[in-house]
Amino acid sequence: MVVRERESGIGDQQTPNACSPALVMQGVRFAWEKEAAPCFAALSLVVEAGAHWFLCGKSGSGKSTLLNLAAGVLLPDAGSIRLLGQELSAFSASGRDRFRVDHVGFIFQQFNLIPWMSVLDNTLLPCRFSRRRRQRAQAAGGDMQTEAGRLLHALDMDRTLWRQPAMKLSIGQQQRVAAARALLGRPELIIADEPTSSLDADRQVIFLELLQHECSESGAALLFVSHDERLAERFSHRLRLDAPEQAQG
Amino acid sequence: MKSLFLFAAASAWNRRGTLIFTVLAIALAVTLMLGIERLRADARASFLHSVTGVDLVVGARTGPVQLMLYSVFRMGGATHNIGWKSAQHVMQDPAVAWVVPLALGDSLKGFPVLGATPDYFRYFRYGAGNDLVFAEGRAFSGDLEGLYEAVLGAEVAARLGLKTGDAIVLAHGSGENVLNEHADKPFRVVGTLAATGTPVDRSVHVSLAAIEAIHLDWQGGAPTPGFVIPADMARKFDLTPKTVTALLVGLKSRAAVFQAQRRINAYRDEALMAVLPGVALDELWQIIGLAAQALTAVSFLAAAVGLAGLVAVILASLNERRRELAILRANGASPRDIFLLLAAEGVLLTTLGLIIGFALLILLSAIAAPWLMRGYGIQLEPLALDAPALGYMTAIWTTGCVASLFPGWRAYRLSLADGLQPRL
Repeated sequence: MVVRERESGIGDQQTPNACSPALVMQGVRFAWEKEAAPCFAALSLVVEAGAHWFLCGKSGSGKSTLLNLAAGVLLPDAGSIRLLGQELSAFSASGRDRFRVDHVGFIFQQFNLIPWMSVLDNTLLPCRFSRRRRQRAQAAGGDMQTEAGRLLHALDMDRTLWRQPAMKLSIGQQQRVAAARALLGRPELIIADEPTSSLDADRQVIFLELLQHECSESGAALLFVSHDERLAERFSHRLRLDAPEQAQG
Repeated sequence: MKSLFLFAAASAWNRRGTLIFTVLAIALAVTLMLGIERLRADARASFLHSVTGVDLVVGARTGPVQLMLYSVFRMGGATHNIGWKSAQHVMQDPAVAWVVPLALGDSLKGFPVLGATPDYFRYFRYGAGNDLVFAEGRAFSGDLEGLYEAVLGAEVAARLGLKTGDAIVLAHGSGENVLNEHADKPFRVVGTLAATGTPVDRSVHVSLAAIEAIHLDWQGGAPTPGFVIPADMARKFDLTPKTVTALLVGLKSRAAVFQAQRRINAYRDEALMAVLPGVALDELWQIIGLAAQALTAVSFLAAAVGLAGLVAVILASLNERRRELAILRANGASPRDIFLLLAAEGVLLTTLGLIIGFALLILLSAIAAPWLMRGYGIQLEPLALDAPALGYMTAIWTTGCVASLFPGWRAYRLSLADGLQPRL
């Protein structure tokens, strides 16, 4: 597998101080099975704090694998992955779980919300498990509910919907709630895995603008994965993953 | 931890449509188990409390259990009575201190009428040797003056709203549907007994002579047509009973009980049977106890089925909940949290089942208690969380909790495999 970098961002210089990059991958090698051809042979990527990255590639090109590596769900066979300067492989499994929820917010393509829970409770979910996110949400809004409400409002969720169970929402509304939840408590990195794929074209752009605006507001870095290259122009940093056969051809 | 438990509860509430049946299965198993245990203990206590202070019960030769049933519990009827001559023979036995002859067969609105001598109130003991106590009035006198006097058990008086001075008419035969009444010879209530929790509460007591008097003009269980002896005239007849149903016998010394029993059983003029109440009760208890043991086994099976159902339902829900679990994982729940979440659900449902089962049992006992007392003479003790009940409940709860670890473990494995996004 070959990684072609379109923009700046690849490098090995990183500052170990407070303004360290959100994510640094260096020489990452990963294979799903030991004997098989590796998914990544030597991947390197630096996502600076607050930077918005667009990640694209055809299905099977390893987009989800990359996200799982970045989130510490998967560990590399070789190389280094540092999230906010911390080497992920140095954590225990439960330590990684804690570190992840403290510093990373997720948005997936669909099924982001627990259907029977209210919009507000869904938004507050990370604060149940992360003390840091809870404290930061409280610091930002006075209390968590206020901050969650502020984010929901900013993402164009009508106040009347907040107490509704998530199952009553449209797909677009669900994705916006997921975005509000990912941003709650100001995690340093937002990982969005095809969050617009279930939306129609107009809604995609509106959602992306809202998300990017709120990420900029909270200063979070954004790792945005999509197979839809039309969205790429809205990002200053882009990374394209190629499927292995293309790389060989 | 607390919020996790609340989350488990909220999630379970969301699936209450299916889970309610699991809870119900556990609740019914609990009700069954505790109910059977309670019934067994109460039935046993009631039996053993029914007759104390009586050394021998004598009747016509049948089974000892049957004799106890009709003479002490007043259930069913005697197939044969014993002749008065035989009764006198027993009275003359050197070891015998006292004899109270009993004549059964009539009833008052379904309550059995017991013909006896006034000695009955002196010698009869129940529970831990308690005397019969009058709530009101006195015993029937036993002489001709007080021929038509009756003493009511506590339940009879309460149920029929009778008090001292009221007039009652006895019916011929026992049970609810009797055809003929002794309407020409009404009785007067002279006393009511305090509650004992034994079949005495359900009995109407009159003198043996009265039983004889109301049947003077009867033949073969019906009034003789065209032949009436008025109530006052009856006093002029010989009212010595010709037959009695059973004898309660007290001995001068308990040590002589086996010799006395042998002598009575060997009486040549009539086939008699003397029974030690304690032994007969034991025998009776073994029959009932065996059934109770079988029921206990069934109730254990029911509990096992209930808990297996619990595990099955939680496991079955696991696949449709994979998304929910992955969402929790992506928002910070560790696999350990997922394990606890699923285990907590099992613990929650088991606990709920226990509480509902116990409540159901309280409700059922309240409904069944009067019926059990009237029909079977079993006094239900007020339901309490006593040692055996707590033991059973702890056993069910512990088994439920241990069983809940299994879905928890499966969910743990699943959440490790799925990561943040289930591959569905």
